[in-house]
Amino acid sequence: MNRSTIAIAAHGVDVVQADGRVALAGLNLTVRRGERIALIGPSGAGKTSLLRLCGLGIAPARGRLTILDQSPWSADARGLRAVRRRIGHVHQLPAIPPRQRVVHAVLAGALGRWPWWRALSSLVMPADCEGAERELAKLALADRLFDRCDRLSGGQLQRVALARVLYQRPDLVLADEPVSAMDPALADTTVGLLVADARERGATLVASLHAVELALRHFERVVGIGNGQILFDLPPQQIDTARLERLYAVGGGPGARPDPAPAVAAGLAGATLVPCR
Amino acid sequence: MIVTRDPAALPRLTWSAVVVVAMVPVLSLAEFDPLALLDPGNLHAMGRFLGGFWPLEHSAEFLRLLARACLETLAMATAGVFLAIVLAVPLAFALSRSLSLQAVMAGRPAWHEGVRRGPLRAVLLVLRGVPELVWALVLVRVFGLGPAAGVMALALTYGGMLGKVYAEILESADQGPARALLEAGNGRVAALAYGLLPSCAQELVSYTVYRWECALRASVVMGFVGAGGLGQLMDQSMKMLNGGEAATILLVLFALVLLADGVSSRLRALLA
Repeated sequence: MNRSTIAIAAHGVDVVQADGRVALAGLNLTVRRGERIALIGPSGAGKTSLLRLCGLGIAPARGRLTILDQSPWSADARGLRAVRRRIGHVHQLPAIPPRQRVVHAVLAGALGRWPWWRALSSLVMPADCEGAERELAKLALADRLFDRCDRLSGGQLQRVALARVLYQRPDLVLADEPVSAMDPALADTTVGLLVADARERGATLVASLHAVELALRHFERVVGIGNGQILFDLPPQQIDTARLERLYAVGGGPGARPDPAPAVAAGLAGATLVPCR
Repeated sequence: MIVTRDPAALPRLTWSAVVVVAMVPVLSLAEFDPLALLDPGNLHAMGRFLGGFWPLEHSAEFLRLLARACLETLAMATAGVFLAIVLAVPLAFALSRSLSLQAVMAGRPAWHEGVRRGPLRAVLLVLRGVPELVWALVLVRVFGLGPAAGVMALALTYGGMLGKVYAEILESADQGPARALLEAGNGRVAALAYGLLPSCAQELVSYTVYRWECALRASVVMGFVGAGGLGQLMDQSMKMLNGGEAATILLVLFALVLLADGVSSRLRALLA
């Protein structure tokens, strides 16, 4: 396989939502393999759209997109699927059926490499309990292995979703506010774990975060998005309060409602923990 | 702008009125006349018919026959529903829009999906459009008298029903997890098993067991046209005007339905 160094390359990409709203306009972004990037910006600015674009959930309306050295949207269906299987998603609201048991929710990370009969037989007889337990243990959830997901709290469910991605071991991890339901201390260790996993495996990580100080502490590159555009793309050391205030003053995309997010930047000025939502 | 009137109110009111008004010609077409129930002559005739049901027949010889017929009916219903499931699962899997790959191809033409669904829908329609009694009448000529024809008839009609309802149950569940799995490049079987089944399993099982209960009753009816089991026994008893035997058979049927009900609630509790 071609091991070039580009994980994501977008040139002049527009993303238009199904309702016709322009979510991203003229986006240029290059992410090298193994880079760990945080996306910050007000609600509705286009962070989720950018992650959906990179995760091949939505096709660009215009421009060129390369993901993991492939041009998935000009490949055939098989090629598109092959690229998609190398991407791990952590959704804003974990896409896990409430009645599913934790063990199956985690093992679902392996569905991309299992043949269909193994996927079915694992529902009867879990194929790799130890593997699932190992990933859950990293997130201090090993004791919930056989619980049903609807017995978990929001933060625990988010950690199950993260355990699934850890088990999947994808080349590209896209995490959309992966710690939004956790308390600040847990959010901090969890983001640290996600970053460390990507570093150890040489995987690329792109995570959107509402808690700005998590982005600044754990990531080597922080991208500020406002109004459907990239406003800055800097190492954390170069990001100061004034820049953050400007970012959150921009507000969301053209269709977004006015957002009370400047409070986040204001909270940062006090150099304290920004509360996780 | 402030909307002061619910825009959905007028259509709802209209449709409710239409439903009520439509009932008048429907009831008259169906010759619905509840007063006929109270007519003294009718009451007398019905009383005589029901009076013949007593005493219950309980001779050892009849009970042996009854036990055999009961087992036959149980076997017919169970085998029929099992074959129906075998028929329905692939059809529902192919048909359900929940597992549409088209949706995750973001505008790419997946023409074969639409082309595939049409004929499959037609197959389901024909299967369940023909009542099991009619299938049984046809199949008795193929398999001869006995439960085999009943089993096949049940498999065909109930396969059509189960296929349609399975597909609809899958479509009524939260589509998020299955959609996310498909978008992550997983196959349709994986998306079904890990995205939809956890939410749908209880309803699927519950509906299937209810259909098994219906199959028990249906196999009795099919017995009247020669498909064996309790129905055939009942047909003979009725023809010989032996109300006691008929009543005992009805009692057994009642017990079978109770059994189905118990199985259903046990399974639902297990899956809750």
